[in-house]
Amino acid sequence: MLTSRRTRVMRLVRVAITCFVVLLLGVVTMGWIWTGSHQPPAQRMASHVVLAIAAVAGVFALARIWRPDRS
Amino acid sequence: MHNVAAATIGVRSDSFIGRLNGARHELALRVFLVIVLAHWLEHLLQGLQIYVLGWPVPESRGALGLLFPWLIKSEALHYGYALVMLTGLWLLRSGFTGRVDRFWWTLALAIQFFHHIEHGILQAQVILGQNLFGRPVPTSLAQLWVPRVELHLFYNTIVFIPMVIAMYYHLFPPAEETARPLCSCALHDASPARAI
Repeated sequence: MLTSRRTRVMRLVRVAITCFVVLLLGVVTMGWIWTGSHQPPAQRMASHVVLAIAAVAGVFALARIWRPDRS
Repeated sequence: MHNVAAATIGVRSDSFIGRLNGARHELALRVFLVIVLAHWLEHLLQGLQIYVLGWPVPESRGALGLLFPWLIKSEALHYGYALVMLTGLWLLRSGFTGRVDRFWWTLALAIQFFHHIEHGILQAQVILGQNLFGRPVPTSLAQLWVPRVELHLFYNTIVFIPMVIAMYYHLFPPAEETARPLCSCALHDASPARAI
């Protein structure tokens, strides 16, 4: 099977970004749980909103980079 | 080719900005990415210290902050990093000549500009010795609602994600991208194939 350098590097970059986003999602999830039990209601709500946006941004990035390559 | 492309965006290819966005763009982006990732490492570590290890928030200072506690308390350092980030995004923008990569890079620059204003507000309170809204500590606008640790995770994410998407499309331009690149960052399928 022939694989171009572009395809190999693209796969590597996609995997690296995915690893980072998974790590980010892990921290965000732990943050969601922690803030739920350590912050007063108003701050908890605000923290959950920004953490949720961060998670959505991470998932959005994955959706963008894993689109089929149409080069 | 670099001269023609540089001229189209009004940058002399032999100027510092021209070289940074031309022959040296790939190297500059790599250095910039290392700086950004090192900063991320500190924030992710801080998150782990608070959320997983259960350390008190003031004691959760990432890695460098454990060795040099004054670092994390220094608003000047935080503002300095925000400025480095803003400058990097601005200086390296001309090299993003495609429609898609330039859009995402510019979005990251715009968000970082606001982030930098927030740090500027914090730094100004330290310099003036007067905190906003009668708060006991320097407070940014968004900090009126959102606790600082979560706010930093948020800001860093919404700047970093468009930045990474821009870099991805800069490295792998989509087929419909017709703009002539100034740099050698993009990988095309013309490179020799290898059997695996």
